[in-house]
Parts: sequence; structure tokens; C-alpha cells
Amino acid sequence: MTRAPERIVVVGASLAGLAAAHALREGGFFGSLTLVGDETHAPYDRPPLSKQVLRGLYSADTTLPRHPDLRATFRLGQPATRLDLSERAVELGDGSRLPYDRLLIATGTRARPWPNPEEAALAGVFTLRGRDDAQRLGARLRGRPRRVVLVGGGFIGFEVASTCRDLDIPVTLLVRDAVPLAATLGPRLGGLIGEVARERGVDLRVESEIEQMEAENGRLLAVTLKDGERIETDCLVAAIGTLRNVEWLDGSGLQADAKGLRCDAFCRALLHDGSVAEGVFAAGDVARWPNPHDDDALVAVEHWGNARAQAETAAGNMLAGDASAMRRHDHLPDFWSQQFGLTIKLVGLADSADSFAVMHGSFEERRLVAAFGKDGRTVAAASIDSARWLPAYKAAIRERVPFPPIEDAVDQPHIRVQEP
Amino acid sequence: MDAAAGMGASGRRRGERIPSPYLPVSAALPAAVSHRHRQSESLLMKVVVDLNRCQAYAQCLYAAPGHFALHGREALVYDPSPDDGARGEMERAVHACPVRAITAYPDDTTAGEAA
Repeated sequence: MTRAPERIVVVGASLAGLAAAHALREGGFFGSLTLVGDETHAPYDRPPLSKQVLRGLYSADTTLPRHPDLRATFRLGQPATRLDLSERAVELGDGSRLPYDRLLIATGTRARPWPNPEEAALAGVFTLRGRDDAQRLGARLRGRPRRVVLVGGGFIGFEVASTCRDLDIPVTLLVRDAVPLAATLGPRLGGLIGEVARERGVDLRVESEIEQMEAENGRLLAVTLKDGERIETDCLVAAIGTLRNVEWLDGSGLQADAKGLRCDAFCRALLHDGSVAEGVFAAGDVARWPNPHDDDALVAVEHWGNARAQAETAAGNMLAGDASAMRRHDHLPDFWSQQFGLTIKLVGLADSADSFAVMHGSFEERRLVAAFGKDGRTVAAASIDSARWLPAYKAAIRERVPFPPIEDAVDQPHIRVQEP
Repeated sequence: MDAAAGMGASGRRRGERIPSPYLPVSAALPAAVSHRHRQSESLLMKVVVDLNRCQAYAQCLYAAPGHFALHGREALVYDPSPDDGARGEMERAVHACPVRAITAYPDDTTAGEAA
């Protein structure tokens, strides 16, 4: 039995870090609790940044609610720079050292910068990840750019495109793949979202990439695509994915690389030799662990719901004493996206699905629940404006029931199994 | 995570279990904090909605009409940082949500001190 912790340090003061802090207090921990964050902001919520914050609806202050009795010390604007496992201490940018009995690593990710640094530095070229990014881009959108070019066919790109159309700003969305969002939703649903975007006036280009940017006096003027076409623009948003914040762990002995910090099923960080790093846990976007819903494949789930759930599991395990009392992290991946007035939700992992069937509603109504199958088993379900029916499929996905999970339905007398 | 019912409005002592963030704001707050916040005009509340949970029952729209809205059939947008004057409406919204997706606390600096 390990001694009960007296000092807990959480590196990463965002959703996962704050959720862990709440869960630690709920779990009865009343020792010293310190959260370290490289940004000066108190923990804040990111999903509204690409939507209502950019649009200027309500407040831009998305600081997450903190329980009045949280009793945590925040070291903000102070990145962790080094981890000393043998001394059990975290070193901060100002040279100070924080000793810990348990450590939670929740440093998350940052926006992948535009690969050409000269182009990335141009006025008018943006990325979107944090509050400061949203403030800068929001201010630019209020200045009414002539055209916004969005690079990246993921959800952030689509959400920002939707916001631009709400503001009646012309927008071109460049997607490298043949079908947008297909990696997450499959080509059928991804194609549907692409169709909706086009109807709302988005100039959506698939299999399209930027060859180079044109600038004058350090300001973006236009982009040239790989097919030679030139598009005039004074605002470009690169939404081309994320990088994991693991550099500060270099030399620590932990197994951390571009794919994330390797953990076991109990959120315990692993050393290079595969053994458990005593007292060190991880949660959120930075953590990569064997996912029971993906045949124990090593995945990092970069979603809001996982950040919170994994932080709660990790917090419980930090207080568990010994391994026999620890709980496996078996959160079923889930996420939502709001764009063009539609709410898209997914539970499970659809990226390797081989079959697809509409359970309720239809593509024509743009209101549906669809299930995804893999090797004859149900692995995921998605909804478009039908969130109320989605939870009904969670158990089927957890248990991997035969696909399709239902044979017929009132509005679908014959469930038709298709390719995703 | 919906546990920890029966938490009174009295202050808690060290080591006492604190309620889940999903608890309604009124039940989660010590009396002293509530009182202090009611005295001040300039304080804010902080609100977050778990949109994985949200199923667009729209009860929050009726409870706090200035702070929640639907854009389309199910896309909920909300004020993450309403003025403390919205406290009563926010409490009603937290209670009205059939899937308990709303968390709201006063923006209290004692929740954590910058150091």
C-alpha cells in the first residue's frame, strides 16, 4: 500500500486538469493541490471559441466554472520545463521546483503551425486553439475580411467556415481529401456535411492544397493552389491539426513522442522500458493508452468528453493507494460539433468501420441516427439533429452487438446496410 | 457523477467531500459565498454545458431566456460568463435541464489562487 499523497501537482490547467482537480477534492483529497498552466488564463472551455466567441455572441470569457471550495493553487503563465522523476519534482519556466507525491500530466496539444514559417508569420494568417487565438481571429473577422480561406478538412475548419457564413463573410474551405470529415464520420456523412456547407455558400474545394502564399509588406494578399488557381484573400486560418505538448518531458525517462504520452489502461504514465512511472498519471489529449473500444489499440482521443472522463479516472487512481483498487479508463469516445445550424454527434470510433446503416430519419431530412459496423459488430453511432436517440446505441457499442444493432424500425422497415 | 446529493447550504470543513460539479448551483454553494455574491453587482458567474449530454430539450431557454439559445434544431449556444444578476435564472436553468448538462458556479477567486 502506497502512502496517501499529500502534494498533488497537475501540469496543464485546461479542461482535463481542472476536471482532475475537482475529482481529487470530491475523492477526499485535502492536501496541497497545484495546477500549472503555460497560458495566463484560468482554465477555460475551448468548444465555444470556434463558434459563438468568433461570432461575438455573449461573452468571450469561457472560463470554466470552479467549485468555490476547490482550494487549488494556480501557477499560470508558467510552463513546466522539466520533469525529474527521481526527485519527484516538476521544474517551471521561472526555475522554481514543485515537488509532488502524485503528478498528473495533462498538457494537451497546441495548434499545428503552418509548415512554412515565413508564411505563418504573415499578418492575416491565423491558427485557432486558445482564447488568445480566438480573440485575434474574432477581431479580424469583425474587420470584415474580403475572403477567409480555411485550410484543413476537420471539424474546426468546418465550424469556422460556418461562423464566417453566419457573419456573411465569403469563405473558401480547402480540404486535402476527396471527401471532408471522412476520417471521423465516414464518406457518407462527411459528404452530407460538405453538401450542407456548399448550400450555405461555402466555396468548398476538395483534393485541394496551397502551393504558396503571396504577400505585400508582410500582409497576406492571395494564395496559389497546387492546381495553379489564385485566390485573393486577406485572412487565412490554418486548421491543420495539433501537436502534442510533450517536449518538456524529453529526457525524463517517460515514453512520450509526437503520438502522445504512453499510458497503461489505468492512466499511469509508462517509462521507456514499459514499466509504470511511480505516482505519475496522464489524461486528456496528450495521453495515449490502450483503448478497450478499439481492441486495445493505442490511441489518443482528443475530445472534450474524454478529457474530462480520463481526468476523473486518473484522479480516482491517484488516490487509490495500490493497483488493485484502480479503475480502467474505458470511456466510450464521444464528441459533438455544431455547424450550419446542425448538431452532429458521434459515440464510439467510426474511423475503421466497414459498414453503415441509417437507423432513424434520413439523409433527405438531414436528421438521422446512423450506426457503424466493423467485422459484423456495432462500433459507433452518429446523429445529426437527433441527439435524443443517440444514447440508446451506447450499450450496443460497448457490448459490440452484431451489426446492424436493430433489424427494423418504425420509420425504417428495412435497415439497409451500406458502405460507410 | 451525479452523486453527492443532500449537500446542505452550510460551509464545509476540510476533508469533507465536496459535491459533484453537476450539482445545481444553489445546492453546491456555501451560504457565505452566496451572501457575498449577492452583495456585489460586478461579480460574474461561470457556466459550462456538457454538449455531449445536451439533447436540446430547451428547458434552459425558458428558464434563462437571455442566456441560452438554439441555433437550428439542436445547436445550443449559451452565455459562459453571465452577470451575477442572472443567478436566479441560471439556478432555474440548472434545475430545469432534464439531462443535467449545465454546471454553474459564481466566479469566486477563492476557488483557486494564482501564485
